[in-house]
Amino acid sequence: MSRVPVPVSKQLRSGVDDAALDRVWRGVQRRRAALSRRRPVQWLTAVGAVAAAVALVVLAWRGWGDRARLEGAGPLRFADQREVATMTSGAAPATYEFSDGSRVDLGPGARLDLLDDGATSFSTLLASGKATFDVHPGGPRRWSVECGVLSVEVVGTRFTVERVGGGARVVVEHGVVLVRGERVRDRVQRLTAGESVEILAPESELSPTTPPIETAPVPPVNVATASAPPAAAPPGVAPPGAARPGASGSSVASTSASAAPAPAASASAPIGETPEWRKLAERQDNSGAYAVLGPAGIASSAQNASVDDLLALADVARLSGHPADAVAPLTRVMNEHAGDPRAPLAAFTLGRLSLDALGRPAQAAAAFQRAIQLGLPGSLREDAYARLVEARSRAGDEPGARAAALEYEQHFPDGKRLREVRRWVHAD
Amino acid sequence: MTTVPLVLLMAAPPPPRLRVVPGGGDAPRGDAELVERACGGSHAAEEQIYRRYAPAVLALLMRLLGRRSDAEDATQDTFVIAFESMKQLRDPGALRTWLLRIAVSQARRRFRRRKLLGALGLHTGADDATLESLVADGVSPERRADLATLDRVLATLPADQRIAWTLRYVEGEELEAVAAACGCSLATAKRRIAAASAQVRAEVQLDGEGEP
Repeated sequence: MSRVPVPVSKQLRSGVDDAALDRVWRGVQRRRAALSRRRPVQWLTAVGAVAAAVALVVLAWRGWGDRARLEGAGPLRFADQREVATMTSGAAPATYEFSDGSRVDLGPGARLDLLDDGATSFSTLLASGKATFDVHPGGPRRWSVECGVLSVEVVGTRFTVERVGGGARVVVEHGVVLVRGERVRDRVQRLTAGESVEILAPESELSPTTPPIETAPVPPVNVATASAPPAAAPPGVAPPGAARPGASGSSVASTSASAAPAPAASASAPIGETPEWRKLAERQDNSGAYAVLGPAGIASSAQNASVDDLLALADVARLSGHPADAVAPLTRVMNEHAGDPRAPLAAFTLGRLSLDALGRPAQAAAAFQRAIQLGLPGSLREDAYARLVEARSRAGDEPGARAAALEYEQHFPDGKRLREVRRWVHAD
Repeated sequence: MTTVPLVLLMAAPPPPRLRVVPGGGDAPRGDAELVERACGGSHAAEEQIYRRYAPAVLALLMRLLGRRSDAEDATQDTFVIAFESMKQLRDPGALRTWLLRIAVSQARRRFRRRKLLGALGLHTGADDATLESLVADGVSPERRADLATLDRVLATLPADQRIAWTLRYVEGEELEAVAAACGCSLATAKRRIAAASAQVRAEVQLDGEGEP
C-alpha cells in the first residue's frame, strides 16, 4: 500500500512563480478598473468635494495606467507596434514578428485569424495552410491555436500546425504543447520535442491515401462508415479490426478499405436485465460497449430509448471515438424530450460535436440555438452564444452571425469572449 | 483521468522586466493597518495585501484544483472579491482566514463547473499541478508514485470532502481553521474529513495522521 507522510505539503514545492503572481495581479487590476468604470459615481454629488474628488480620480487613474504600462499589460502587437490582425500569405511564405519576440511563419496560401488578444492570452484560428509558431518563452501570455478538430496550447516553444484535408497535424520542434480535441486520445495529449500527432478528417471524409502519423502508442482502429450495411457476425463478437474492449478512444483512424462494420447488436435485453452494452458503459468501457452495439446498433437502440439510455448511447459513441454516431441519440433528446432538464445540455453537446469534431457548422448553429431556447444553465449560456456566432459565421450565414453577436453583447456586455465574438463578425 | 503535468521547457532565461514595488523602504505593516488603508482607497495597501497572501492562496488553489490555469483564475477572482468587499471584513486581524474562505468558495465553484462539463463529456483541461507534479526535488520515485495514488483518490472525492481533507492533511491546517475556511461547523468539517479519510486510507497509508 502507498505511504504518504502528513502534512503532505512538506513533500511539495510551492509551484508558484513570480510571473504567475504578476499575471494574476494584472488581471485583478484590470477587472477592478472595469468595475470602477461601471460603478455609478454617486460621490460626485457630495457637497463641497466634487472638483477635488475628480482630480483625485484622474491622478489615481493616470498612476494606475502608468503602472499597467510599466508592467507590460495589454494586448500583443506586431513588432512594428501595429495592432495584430488577420495574417495571410500569398503564393510565397510570409513571416510575422511580434512585440514580445515571438514569430509566426506562414506557409504559402495560409491564413491565421485572430480570436483573442489580451494581457494573459493570445488565441488564433488556423483557417488554412500551415503555420510554424516560435513563441518566446517567459512571456505573460498563454498562446492557443484553434485548428478545427484540435486546439494547441503553449507557453513558450516552437511547433507547427497544419491543416490536412479536414483534419490537422501538430509537430513540436522544442518545448511542450498540449493538444486538445474530441478526437484526441483522452481528449488531451502532451507533446514534447520531436513528437507529433495527426487527427484525420471525420469518417465521411477519409482518404484511402492519407497515412496516419502518430508517435503515441495507440492501437489502430478500423473505422466503419456509417452508411455501410451491418456485417453478419455473431452478436456479442467484435468484428475483425474493431476497437479492442478497454482501449480508449483513438485519435487516429486507420484507412483500411476492408474495415468491417460492427454487427447491429441489439441494445435490448430480457426485461429486468441490463443490456450488455450498458454494463460495459457503466464500467467506463466505452470501446467495448461500442463494439457490442456498433453504429447501426446505436441508431436502432436510440429509436425508443429513454433519456437516460439516449445520453448513455451518446457517451458510448463519443468516448469511444465515434462522434458521428452520437448525433442520433443527442438529436432525439433535444427534439423528443425537450422538457427534460438535460435536453439543453444534450443540445449544447451536439453543437460542440458538430462544430469541432464533425465539421458541420450549420448543424452546430441549429443545436446551439436550440440549447439556448431550451434554457441552458447560466455557466454555459455565454459559451453557447459565442459558439453560435462562430458556427453561423463558419456556415456562411453572416447576417445570422451578426444577429447572434448582438445578442451576445446584450446579455454579456463584459463577457470574456467578447473580442472573439466581434472578430467572427469583423466588428473589432 | 490521466494526469498530464505540463513541464515548461524554456529555451532561454526570461528577459529582465521592470517591476514597480509599492511602498519601498517602509517597514512591514500589520494586516489590520493594511486593511484599514485599503478600505480607505490605498492601491499600495491593496498590492501589499496581494503580495503578502497571493503566493499562499495560489499555492493552495493549485493543490486543490490540480490545474494552474484554474488556480490562477480562482486566485484572481479571490482578490477581486476581497478588495471589492473589504469593508465588510469585521475583524481585519482575520484577513488570512477570510481570504482562505473566499479562495475555498472559488475552488468549490470550479469543481461544480467541472462536474457539469464532465457530465456533458466536454474536456475540462489537463491536471498540470497535481501533488505528484509539485513534489520537491530529492523526493524518491517511490514517494512520487505514492503521491500519484493520492492524487487519483482525491480526484474521486466529492468537492467538500476533497477540500476539507486537503486543507487538513495536505496544508496541515488545524481543524478550526479548516472549518472556518470551509464556512461550516467544526463537527461538519470533522465529518467531511473522516469520510474522505476512509476513502484515502483504502489505498494510502498516512504517516503522522492524528484525529480527523
